[in-house]
Amino acid sequence: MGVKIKINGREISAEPGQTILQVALANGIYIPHFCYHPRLKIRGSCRMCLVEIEKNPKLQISCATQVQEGMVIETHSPEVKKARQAVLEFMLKNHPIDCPICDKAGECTLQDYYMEYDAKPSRLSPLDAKVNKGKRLIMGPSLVLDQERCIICHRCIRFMREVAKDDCLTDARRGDRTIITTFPGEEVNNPYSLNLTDICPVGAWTGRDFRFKKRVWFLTKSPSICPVCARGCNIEIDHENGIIYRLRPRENEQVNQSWMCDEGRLAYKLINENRLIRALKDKKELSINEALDSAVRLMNEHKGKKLGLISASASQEQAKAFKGLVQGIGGELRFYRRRPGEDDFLLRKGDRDSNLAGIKGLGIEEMRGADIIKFELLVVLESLYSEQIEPALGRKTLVLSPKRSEMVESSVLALPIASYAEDEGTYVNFEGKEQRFYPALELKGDSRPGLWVIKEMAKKLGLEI
Amino acid sequence: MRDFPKILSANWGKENSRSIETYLAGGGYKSAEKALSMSPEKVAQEVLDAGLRGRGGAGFPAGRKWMFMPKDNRPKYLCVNADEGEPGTFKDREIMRNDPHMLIEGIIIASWAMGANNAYVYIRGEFREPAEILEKAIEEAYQKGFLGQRIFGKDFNLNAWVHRGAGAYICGEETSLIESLEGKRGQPRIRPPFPPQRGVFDMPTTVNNVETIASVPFIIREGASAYRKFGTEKSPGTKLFCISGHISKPGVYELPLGYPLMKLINEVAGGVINGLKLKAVIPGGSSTPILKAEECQGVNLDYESLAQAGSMLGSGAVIVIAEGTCMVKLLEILTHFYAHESCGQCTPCREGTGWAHQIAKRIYQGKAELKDIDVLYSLGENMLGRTICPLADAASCPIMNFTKKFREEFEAHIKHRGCPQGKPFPVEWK
Repeated sequence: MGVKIKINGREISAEPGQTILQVALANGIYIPHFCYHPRLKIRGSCRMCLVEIEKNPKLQISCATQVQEGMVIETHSPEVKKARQAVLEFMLKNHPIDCPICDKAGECTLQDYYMEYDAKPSRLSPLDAKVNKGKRLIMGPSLVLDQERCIICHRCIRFMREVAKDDCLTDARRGDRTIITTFPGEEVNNPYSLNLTDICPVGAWTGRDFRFKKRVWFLTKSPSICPVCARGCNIEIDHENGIIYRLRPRENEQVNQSWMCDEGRLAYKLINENRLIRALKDKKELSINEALDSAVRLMNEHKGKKLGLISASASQEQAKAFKGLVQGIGGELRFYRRRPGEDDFLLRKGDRDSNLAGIKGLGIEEMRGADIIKFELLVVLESLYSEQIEPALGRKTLVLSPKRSEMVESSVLALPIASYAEDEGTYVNFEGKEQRFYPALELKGDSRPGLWVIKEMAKKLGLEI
Repeated sequence: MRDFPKILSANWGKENSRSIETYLAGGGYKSAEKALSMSPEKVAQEVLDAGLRGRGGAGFPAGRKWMFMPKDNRPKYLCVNADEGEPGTFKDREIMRNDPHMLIEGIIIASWAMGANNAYVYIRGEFREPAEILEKAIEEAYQKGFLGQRIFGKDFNLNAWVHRGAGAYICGEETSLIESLEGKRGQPRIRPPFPPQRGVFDMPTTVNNVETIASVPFIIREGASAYRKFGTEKSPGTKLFCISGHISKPGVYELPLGYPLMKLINEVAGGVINGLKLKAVIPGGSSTPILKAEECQGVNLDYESLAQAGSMLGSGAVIVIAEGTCMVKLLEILTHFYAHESCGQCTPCREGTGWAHQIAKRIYQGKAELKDIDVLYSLGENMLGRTICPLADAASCPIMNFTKKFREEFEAHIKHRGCPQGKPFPVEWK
C-alpha cells in the first residue's frame, strides 16, 4: 500500500515507513543535510533538513519524519530557506573558515551549502571570539582530526560504532565546546578508519596519506574496481597527469555499500611506483616489438616442457586469452594466488585475488610448488598485487608484468603490461558477480594491455585464440 | 503559613518528618494499600479525574500519561525526575528532604497504575543530602515490605533505586534523563518513539516529576473530588511555589493553584525586599517568559491565567526582580547558564547559546553596537522550535523577551558604553 504525498506541489507515491528525506531524494528533490547518511542510524541533530509540513506549526526534520497519507510538504518555502540560513550561520559561528588550507575545500558540504543556501555576509562581531579546540590531532595511524572544523554531525561516531564495530569515538564537553574525540587512551586504529574522510561532510577528518597532497578540483575521477581482494569493491580513482592521489569507494549496494578498507584505499601507491615500463631481455631494454618477436622465438624454439602461470588477479579476458596461448604452444596452465588470510566482519575477503572465482571458472587449476620443477620454460602473467613465485625465481622465465618484481628481475624476458588502472577487463568476485572496469590512466611507457600482448604473441605464433 | 491546605507539605516541620515512623503515624502508606486494592486502571482514572497535571513544567495530565503505557508483557519502568535544575526551582529538594516517604508512596501507587516493577529516582548530582535521605527511606520501605516482593500481599513486586546524575541541566529533559540513566551521555533522543513506547533500556517508561508523584497519595486517599476542592477548574490541586530573588521571605510555599501572584509576593512572601518597587517577575523558572510589574497585576498562579498573561506556570519558580536591577546583566547570567548547559547536539542550540552569551556580555560591558541587539534577538528566533528538545526554546525565551520588553536598557548600555547604573543589583542577589 503506497502513501500519497505532495512535495512542492508534486504528487508522489511513497512507501509507508519511508522518511520525507528518503522520498524526496529518491524523486530528485534535494533537501540539504549534514548528519543524515543513508547507511547510518538517524541522528536528527544538524537541523539542516528542516521542511515545512502543512498543518504543522513547527518545521520538522525530514530525515526522521515518516511520510503519512496526504502530507503536504514544502522543501523550499521562505521559512525553510530562512531556517537553513540560520543553521549555516550557526555552523559557521565557530568554524575556522580556513578553506584555503583545508583539504576538503572543493568537496566540502558546508562550503557548497553556504554558496547554495546562505551566501550572506557574516554577522559575527570581531569581538566575539571563536571557540578554540584541538587542531591537527593525530588520531591514529591513518587519521588527523581538526576539532574546530567539525560540525558535530556524529557521522564518524556512528560509522565507527555501527559499521566498523569499533567503539573508539565519542563526543565530549557540552555546548559550543563540544568536541569529537577518542575515549581516553584510545585511538582510531581500524581497517576501515579512512572511510571517515569520506563521510565527514567537512574537513575535520583528513587522511594522513592524502593531507596537503592535492587540491581536489584538479583531480579527474574515474570509476574502477579494487583488485586487492575477492570482494571487488567499487572504487573511484582520483588522478592527475597520470599520477593517482587517492582511491575512494563508489557506492554499490550489492558489493561494498559505501565503504572500502584502508588497505585497498592505500594500495594505489603501487600503481604510481616501481612499474615496469620497458621490455627487458637479460636486463637490457628493448622495444616492445623486438620483445614480442623475442618472446615468440623463445616459445617456438623451446622444445622442453612449458608451463603457463597466471595470477588469479588477472582479468577474465586476459585469462581466457592466456589459456589459449599456453595451450597453443603445448604447455600446461596453472593459476597462482596471493597468500590467503581470513574474511573479516565487513568487506575484506580471505581470498586476496580479484578474479579467483573467474579463473577457477575457466577450469584452470592451482599451481603447486612441485609442479614447477617438471617444466623448463615458464610463461608468467603477473598482476599488480601478485606475490612472487619462489620456486620460479632463477628458472627460465618469460614474464608479462606491470611491475618491476623479482620475477621480472630474474626472467630472461619481461614484457611490460598495463595495471588495472590503465586497462579494461572484467573481474568475477567471490559471489560470482562480473564487474567490468575501464582505463583510468594512459598507458605508462612501453606498457601495453595484457590482452593485447597475449594476442600479438598468438598472432605471431599463428594461433587462433 | 496560615490556613492554606497542605497536601505536599503536610508533614514538613514535624519532628523526624523524614522517618518512616512519623510517616506511618500520620496514616502513611494507607493510600498505597488502598491503591493496590483497586484495579490499576481505576487508579490511573482517579488521578486523571483529579486533574493532576505534570509539575515539572509542561503541565501534561499525569493520569493520561500513565494510560499511554502499553498493556503488553514487556518490563515497564517509572522514572521519577528529581533532576530539578531549572534556575529558581527548589521544591522537589524540599519534598525529598522533609517527606521522602510521601514520594515513595506515590511511586508505589504510580508503578501499580502503570504496571511498572522497577522505579528509578533520577536525582541531580548536586543533591547529595536528599539522595542519602531518599536512599535511607527506600531502605526503610523495603524493611516494612512496602517495596520488594508481594507488596501488601498482592502479586506485585516493585524495586526502587536512587540514581544520581552528574550535574547536567539537560538530564532533566526526560529522554536525556533516560540516556543518562542507561549510562550514556545525557543527550535528548528524537521522538517518536516516545518513552511509553521505548524508554529506559528500550522498554515502556513514564517519567514523572517528584512533585507530581508526591501529590498522588492524597488523591488516592481522599479521592479526586477532594483534590479538586483546591485550585481552579482546569488547574486543580495545590502546588509548591519557590519564590526567590528580591523578596523578603524567599522559600517554598504550598498554595492552591490559581492563587494571585501579587498576593504571593506581597503577603505570603512578605513583599519585595527592603520595600523596593517591583520591576518584573519570572513566574515559572528561567525558561518562562518574564512579566513586567504591570503585567503581573491580576495574574493568578495557574496554567491558564499565566498562559493568558503570555507566560507559563512552569515549575512554579517565582523569581522576583526589584526596581534597580540591570536586565542586561540578568540576561547575561541567564544566557551564560544556557550556553553552559546546552548538550551540544543540535546546531542552533550548540552554537546559538554560546553566541548569545557573548553578545549579552558585550552589551553589558559596553562593547556593543545597536545592531547587536537585533542580532541577539534573531539568535533567539533562530533557535526557537528548531531543535530536538526544548532547551533551545528555553534559552531563546529570555533572549527574546528581555530584548523586547527592556530594549531601552539594552540601548542605554550601548549609548553609555557600559551599565548606566554602575552596579547591576539594588541589593545582593539571592
